Amino acid sequence: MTLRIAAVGDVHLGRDARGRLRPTLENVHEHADVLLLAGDLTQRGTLDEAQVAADEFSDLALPVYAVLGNHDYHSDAQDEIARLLSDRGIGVLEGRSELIDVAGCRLGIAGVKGFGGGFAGKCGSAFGEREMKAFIEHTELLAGTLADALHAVENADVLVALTHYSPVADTLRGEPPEIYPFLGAYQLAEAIDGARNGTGADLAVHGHAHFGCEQGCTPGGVRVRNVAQPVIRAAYAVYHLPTA
Amino acid sequence: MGTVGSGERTALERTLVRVCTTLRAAGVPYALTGGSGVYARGGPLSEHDIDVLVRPSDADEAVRALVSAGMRATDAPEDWLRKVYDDAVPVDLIYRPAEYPVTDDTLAAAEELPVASVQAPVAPATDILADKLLSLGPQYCDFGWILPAARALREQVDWVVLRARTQHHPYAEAFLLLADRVGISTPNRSRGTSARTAQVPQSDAPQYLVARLRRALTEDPRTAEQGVRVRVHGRTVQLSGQVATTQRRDALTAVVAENAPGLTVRNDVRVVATGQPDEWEELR
Ligand SMILES: [Fe+2]
Ligand SMILES: [Fe+2]
Repeated sequence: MTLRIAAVGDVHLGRDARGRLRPTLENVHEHADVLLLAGDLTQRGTLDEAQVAADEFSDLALPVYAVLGNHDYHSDAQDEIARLLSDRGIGVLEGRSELIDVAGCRLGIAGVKGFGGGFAGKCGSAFGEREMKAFIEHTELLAGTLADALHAVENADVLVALTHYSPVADTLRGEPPEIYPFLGAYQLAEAIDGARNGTGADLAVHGHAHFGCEQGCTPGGVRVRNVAQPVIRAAYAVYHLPTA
Repeated sequence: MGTVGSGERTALERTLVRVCTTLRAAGVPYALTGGSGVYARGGPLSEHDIDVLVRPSDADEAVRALVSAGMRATDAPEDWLRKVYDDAVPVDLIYRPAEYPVTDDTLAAAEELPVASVQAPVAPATDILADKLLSLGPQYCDFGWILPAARALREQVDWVVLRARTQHHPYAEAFLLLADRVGISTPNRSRGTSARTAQVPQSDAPQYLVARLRRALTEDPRTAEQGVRVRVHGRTVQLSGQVATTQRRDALTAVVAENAPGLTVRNDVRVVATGQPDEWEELR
């Protein structure tokens, strides 16, 4: 048996983009069993932009789950945006998980926005100035939340981690290396690899790196896919996972 | 080259007026540059010729018009200008000032200003100085005229843009060092893009222009774009990457043009593809 996951990130919707995705999304259920949104649903993080995103992604014939991205936080309206999306039937996974029955299997999805900090040997530390400690502590707090959310659904047949920031450097190839620490953090990969007592999740999906590439892998061997729309160059990408 | 005497001034002004009225009457688009441009912008009249920008396709027509007004055409050995004489006063019709030919955009940037007894389109101060600096070389390396011109036009010059346009040109770099040392070039404080950030004095070194533009594209609410690449090549700013809509692609040009006046914006940004994917990936 196969589970089909559709995913897209960084659609950056706004009033000027109303209806851009909807025609293609109308039949997404013919190609996938669930749709994941990897953050940056809006351009400036305003409620009217979130309304456009809700109109694009709600009432589709398959379950839709989302995390928010940094753009969705820009106007300090992230809580209202999350509520608006939830009210329209889109599951917002801001540091929590859901277990659902689809395609004859139990799918666990754990999501969090994530944050920057960098990767192995080239990362920040919670040391020195208050601002630097706050930066890395935010990363660690969100990675810890992801670990807990994965743990809560680890008896799922298929376990997926959904973030906006990247857990690995692999999928950032194409971006200038100098900005990697602003694009993701290794702590997210640690949480993904640590799931199921160290066996790891089955797939990690993220966005945010518009100039990055699609495929990567965590140190523990979990497949990572960057689904930022400029990377996948389509309305969504589709991944087929075995369920048995 | 000192400032011209009063007899010569009269002759130069007379030629300037004849050139402007003749080209205007002939319908040839043009702009004053060089010494006459500096003069029109309030600087000293210190060169002994009249410099006029015309499009390459209009150069012949401009020569014809000036000759029928009584001037004399000569064969200039240079392949970037045509030369005519009004009695003893040379008039240079320049169609390729630095390495780029004059275009509609070049002329559209000109400003109508009163000069002598007429109104004439005058190239921006930054363009006038950039072209002059880029014309310096081993055969012609005279700062004697440019220095007082730069001093007179200092408030009209965008020094960030001037530096960006003339980077990698050693003669221009030497002049700009001199202008810095004697206090002619002013640090160019651009308008802050975010009211919340404390105002840091902004450097006008060329490598900061890219940083300034990238921040403007991210922080200006009209664009709010992080996913756009900015490169500066000479007088051109090139933008690449992908955005969600055509409106947003066009807004990028507007924001960059505002933050780098006088530079040409080449917007190669594409609108992101949102079609149905042609395939799926099997994860075994
Ligand atoms: Fe994004
Ligand atoms: Fe992002």
